[in-house]
Amino acid sequence: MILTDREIKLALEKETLIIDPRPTDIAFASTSVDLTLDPIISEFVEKKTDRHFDPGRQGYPLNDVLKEETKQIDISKLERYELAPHKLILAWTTEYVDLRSSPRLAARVEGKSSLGRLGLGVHITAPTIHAGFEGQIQLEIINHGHIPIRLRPGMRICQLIFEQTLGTPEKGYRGQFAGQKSV
Amino acid sequence: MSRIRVDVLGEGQHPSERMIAVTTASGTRENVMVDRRSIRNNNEIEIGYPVASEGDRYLIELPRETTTGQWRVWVKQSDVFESEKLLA
Repeated sequence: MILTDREIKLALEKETLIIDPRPTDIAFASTSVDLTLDPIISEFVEKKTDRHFDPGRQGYPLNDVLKEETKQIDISKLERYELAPHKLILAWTTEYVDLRSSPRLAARVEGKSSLGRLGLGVHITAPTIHAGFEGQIQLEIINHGHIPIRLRPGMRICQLIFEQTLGTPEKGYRGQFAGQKSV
Repeated sequence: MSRIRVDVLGEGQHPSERMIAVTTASGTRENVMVDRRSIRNNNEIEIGYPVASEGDRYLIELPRETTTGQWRVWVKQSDVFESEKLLA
């Protein structure tokens, strides 16, 4: 079941959902709320050498590799930042989202049609914000189009759609371990 | 709610992120990127409630997917604590 703007606002009021900074009224649509682009992005560094990722290897240091292959940029300090055609960057929402108080609340991060028509995608096959999530949402932003797209910190970059789960996930349900003292 | 002890490995790709490691019951380590605010008392994270139990192990669900793509890992029961107990 998808939450409407009224239910999202009610959850924010009751603090069963936290979005910080809290979205203003114009960020809402009937069944979604817009989030904005954080100034810090992570850009893949172009190198000539033969390289590859190996995420299926046991103990693969994915974070170390990503750190080596990317550089952090604060686009608020640049005169402008343009995402070149077919280029991928990692980015984050400005807003911190906390779903922990509502074990039955999950969300999906989706793009905005106004940006999609320019070729801008904001995730790569992983839109689910699982129940219990906490943090700024990472976006995998790619320009699928043929013209550079200027990105500005604070611009509306994605929308969140909240969904109530059918039942409580196991990790949010105390039943089977109720009364045990070791946990 | 429960918490588990973790090792904080360092910063992530964004200032809000930290990479942590959870030691599994078999002694291997699973790395997870979490929000820095998820880390309590410098080396603990909240995990909801264990989802299964077997001998001296709990199956827990981590707050995010590990770098190897798992959400759930078996851990030693002795590494899991109740939040309220820690806060006391």
